[in-house]
Amino acid sequence: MPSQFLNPSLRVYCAKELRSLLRDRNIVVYGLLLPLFLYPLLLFSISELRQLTTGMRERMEPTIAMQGLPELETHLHELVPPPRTLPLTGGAGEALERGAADLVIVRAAGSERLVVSHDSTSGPSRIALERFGPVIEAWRRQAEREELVRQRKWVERSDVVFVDASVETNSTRELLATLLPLILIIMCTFGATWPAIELTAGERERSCAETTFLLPLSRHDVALGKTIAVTAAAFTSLCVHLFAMLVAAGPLLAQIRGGASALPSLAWTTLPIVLCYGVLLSIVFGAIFLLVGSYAKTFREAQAFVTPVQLVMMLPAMLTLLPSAELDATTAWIPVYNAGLAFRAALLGNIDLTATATSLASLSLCALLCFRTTVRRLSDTAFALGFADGDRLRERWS
Amino acid sequence: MTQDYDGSTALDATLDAVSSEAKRRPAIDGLDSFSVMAIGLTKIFQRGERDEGLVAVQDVSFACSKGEVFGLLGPNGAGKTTTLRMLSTVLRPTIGTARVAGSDVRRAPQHVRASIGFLSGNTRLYPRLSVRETLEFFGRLHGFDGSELEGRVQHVIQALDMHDYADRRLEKLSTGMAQKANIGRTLLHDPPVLILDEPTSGLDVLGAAAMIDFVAEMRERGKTVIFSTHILSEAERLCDRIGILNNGRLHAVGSLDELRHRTGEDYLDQIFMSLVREAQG
Repeated sequence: MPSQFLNPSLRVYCAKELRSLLRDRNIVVYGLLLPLFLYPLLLFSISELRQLTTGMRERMEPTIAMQGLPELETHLHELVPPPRTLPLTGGAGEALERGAADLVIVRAAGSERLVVSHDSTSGPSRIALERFGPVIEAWRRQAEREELVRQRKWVERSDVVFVDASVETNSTRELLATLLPLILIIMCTFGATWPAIELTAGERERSCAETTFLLPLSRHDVALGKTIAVTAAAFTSLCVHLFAMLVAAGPLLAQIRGGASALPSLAWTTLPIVLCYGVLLSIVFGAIFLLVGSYAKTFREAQAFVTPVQLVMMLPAMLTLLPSAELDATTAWIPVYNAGLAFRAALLGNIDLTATATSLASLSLCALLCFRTTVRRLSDTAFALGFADGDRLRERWS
Repeated sequence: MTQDYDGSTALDATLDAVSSEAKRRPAIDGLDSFSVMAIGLTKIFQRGERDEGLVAVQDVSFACSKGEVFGLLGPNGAGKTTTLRMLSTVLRPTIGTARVAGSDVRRAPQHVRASIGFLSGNTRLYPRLSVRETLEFFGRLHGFDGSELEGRVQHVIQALDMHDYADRRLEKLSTGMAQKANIGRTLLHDPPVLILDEPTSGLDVLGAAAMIDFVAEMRERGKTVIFSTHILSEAERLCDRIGILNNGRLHAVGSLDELRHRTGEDYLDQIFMSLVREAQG
């Protein structure tokens, strides 16, 4: 294989295929422009959506769980609109996690300090904090002033303490780890689809396939050249997505979370791991779509053939959204799904070396199998001319 | 040919029938001096295991010498394109072989492809490359580089008068301009053999006339040209020898005079009809 990559004719052919692909509007739009504009557009849409939902936020009735503090409860009920209040049963974190309350207010043990707990990963909890946090602080200051007047001396009291009781404090990273693998896998399929159709059915439809098979190259080189070109196009598209995503991710996540949220710092190993899986996924998708496209006679027919396959390929990516999904000894063997889970694990910093190595081995094996099958199919005259012939009888006869 | 499936594939019977006929054909000796020689070329297409196979071309043998224009004539479906595709290595012969410019189509297909210029309605150029880029691409694959490549590209552009659109993409050119670029592509590496499959089909009168002139010029330059057509006037004007194909078999080969003598007819259309009727029994 390495000597084949050094073959100058193959390099010339690959360069020509890539040049043709980069001049195709569909490929430029789906593979390069879409990623660059998708994320800023998403950012803008979310910002607009936030403004639209502001009214809805104001009409919302948050629930506040309290332990004692009848004066504060009375004060809160005097507000318009008043919140729902209920006595706290169990711990603050538990009440927030169950969704029984959006805000929990308790007096700290052995002091006068008020502890206000909220869950930063929950929208209603954040809204409750925004709305009632200042009210509670103001009430507290008022109570201190009244105490001062009554006792004619300054009484030292602690302020209100706000606590984020969300189970995972680094929710930005979690959100990134959930969304990124799904988007990357889906975009990698898009990045491979158009080039694969273009170099198979597209070439056949334009009557260029026979020209290609008349080049002074072996059929194997032609097939190899096509597969390499599609893989390169898919991987380039994936890299553009990654770049655009990293640039837009900080502001985008801040919008999603409704507050300032910087992009979490990632381990240096994250990017090489993501790129490694990216290369393998590009080979798998490129080879599969080339294979499917090779059975179509026209561009439209190829689109019809490829679309269901594309959906099937996206399914494992969607399954990575399940909260229980994680890379382990079993899931590491399922191609594509394992790449999604490995992306996620890498972003969360939970890299299990054994599972990662297994998933890389499994995906490499799958990529090799797809690559070989596709190269064999594309080397066949039936692909070049669009009909079956008696080639496989040659060996028997001779 | 058997229609029944009796344990072996139905195609075996077809191959047996074709093979026994090929063995009866006398050996062709002393053909090494020819630029092109086809020896018992047979092509069978098969769809599925139980398909008995379609014999598209059967036991076609002929030879062409340097500087000769050889015409393959025949009605639609006679096997002209399949024969030319076997000669150009796009298809591998099921039985038989051919030597083109000294290389065997079975054993050294890449060498054959490097020694021919093949042009047909199915060999269009890549639309997203410009004329110059296309010529450079083909030139590089034929082993040219640097100033030699540049010189050849420039020469072809000048010879075919393509200066005005040499840097325009092929998708933006007219049929005639694209055909010129295609001719340029076949000539760039100066191949000794040109194989042209219905080269005037789809061209307007001017384009067709230019193509005829091109073939005549190639003959003057000592190239071997094999071309198929169903336009008899083209064959009459250009061909040194003509082969009549019908139902995949080569029924007659000879110069126009030889064919006149054989059929007793004067004009090529009459000769052609007479030979086709004779072939159909």
